[in-house]
Amino acid sequence: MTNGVVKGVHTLVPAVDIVETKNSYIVKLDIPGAAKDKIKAQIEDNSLRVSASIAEYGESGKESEPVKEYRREFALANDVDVNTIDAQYDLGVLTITLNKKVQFLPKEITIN
Amino acid sequence: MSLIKRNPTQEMTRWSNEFPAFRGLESLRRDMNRIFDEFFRGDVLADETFFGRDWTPAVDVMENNDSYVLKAELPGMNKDDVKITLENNVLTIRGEKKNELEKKEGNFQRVERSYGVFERSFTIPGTIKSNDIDAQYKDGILTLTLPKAEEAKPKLIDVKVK
Repeated sequence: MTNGVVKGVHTLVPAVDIVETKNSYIVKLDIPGAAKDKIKAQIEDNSLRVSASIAEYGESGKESEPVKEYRREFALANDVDVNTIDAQYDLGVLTITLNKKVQFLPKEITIN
Repeated sequence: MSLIKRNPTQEMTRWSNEFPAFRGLESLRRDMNRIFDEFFRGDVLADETFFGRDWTPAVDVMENNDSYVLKAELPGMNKDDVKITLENNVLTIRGEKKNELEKKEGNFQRVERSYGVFERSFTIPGTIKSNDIDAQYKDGILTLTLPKAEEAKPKLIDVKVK
């Protein structure tokens, strides 16, 4: 039974857009159909791991076993401040904002 | 002047009768037709459009006893940007997803998500109650429930054995 292969679960790689702005990186992942509490985002060893399991809802409205799983991992650049990461899930899109550490922000030096 | 509608099949057959070399072509044509017929047969809702769109949302179609259920993945879309129409038993979902990141100042490091115009059409095989179509949009998934009309539902007829 438990041979490590989960029957019927489809592993998918979510499509991602990454934009670098002056102060942050914005990461957007398409994860349609996920319940917010089934989405996990973790930072470990300078990498960001995102996973979400998707269940189907039958006619009775009862939740099934997960049928799909989205997984993706990103290596973080060393200018990312791991303490201020923000994640929002809306309309099937997970948006993660990774702020840059203050010392990496562009600054203007005034001439005295 | 007479206008005669061109019939390629007939022409083909005439050619192959007169020139044996064309027989191979004729049988190839039949094979191609058969392959196409088989490819589209058995598809509960045959997909009608392939062109004129920037991306194609993934769609699941299920058939129950009472209804057809269609689920389309439209992550990041606003409900108001999706239009659903039913015309001559052809259901069409179309819309446009605007790239909200373009407005932000920044450099794209990766762009994998789809943007732009999409359109998908499906021919509904049986009769449905077109006034009772239900459309829900949640978490980036559009779910359409098309209830079958009474005459399209599978019937169980009890045959009395005398």
